[in-house]
Amino acid sequence: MPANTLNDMILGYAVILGILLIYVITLIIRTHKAKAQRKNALSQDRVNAINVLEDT
Amino acid sequence: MFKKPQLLVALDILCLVTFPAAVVLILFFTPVEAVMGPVQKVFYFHMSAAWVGMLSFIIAAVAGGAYLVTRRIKWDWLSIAAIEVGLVFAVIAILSGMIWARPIWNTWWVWDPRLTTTAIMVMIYFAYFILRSGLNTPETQARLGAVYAILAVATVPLTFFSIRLFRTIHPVVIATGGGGSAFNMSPRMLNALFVSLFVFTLLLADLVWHRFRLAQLQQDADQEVY
Repeated sequence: MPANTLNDMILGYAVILGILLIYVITLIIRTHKAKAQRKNALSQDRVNAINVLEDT
Repeated sequence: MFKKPQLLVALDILCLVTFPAAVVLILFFTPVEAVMGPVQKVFYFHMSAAWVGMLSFIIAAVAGGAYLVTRRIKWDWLSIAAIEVGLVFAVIAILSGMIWARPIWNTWWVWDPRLTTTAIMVMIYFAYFILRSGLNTPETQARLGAVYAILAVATVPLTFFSIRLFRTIHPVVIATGGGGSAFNMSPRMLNALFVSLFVFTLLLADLVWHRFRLAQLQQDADQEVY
């Protein structure tokens, strides 16, 4: 008769899937932030370039 | 534009299909172990996580070596990505092992050679990020990070062979010579193990690729700002 360890198995899989899910979410959030930062930096670059052209 | 490569999209889809399939296979179509009961099913993902964690640290060391030789920043991004993802898998391996150990060894943790070397390995790789954060220029971070990744990889064989070199209560899964396996695995159990190893390797490739792209994005954004 196998030991009754069903709850331990559920806990194990909850922890494994939970950690993976949290990591994937942090990866998505960081990627979105970096994309937004890059977009802002690019638009700021354009503004600076226009200002330089207007000055000359 | 920062477009996602089609191969990465395909890998994402493959992971999204195969990962739940592996969970279903293990939970519903793999036999329950005769003594330990259902908790033994944690083993499939526990071992797979440990395997890809170690593989990831080896990739980081190779990327570190490639950076030192070529000085191309892409190798540094790969090294960072592999260490970060490897740490996630190593932590999963430790925590799932603790959950498995509690009903079987009647304790969450013992200072057994395998558990101790794994804990040391994880702490050494956490220190990699502390080291990088303490350095000023990206070049210094990349150079010293590469050296650190190469030195730190020594903990991987130490962890892997600890159960063969020292007396331990941790089971030897891949038996060599006349050692014999601690698990008397049936073909269905062995199939489930190979499936989870395959799925975790796919997941490693997918996550490392995504983390690599994040490092690239962060670098691009920083270069635009300055």
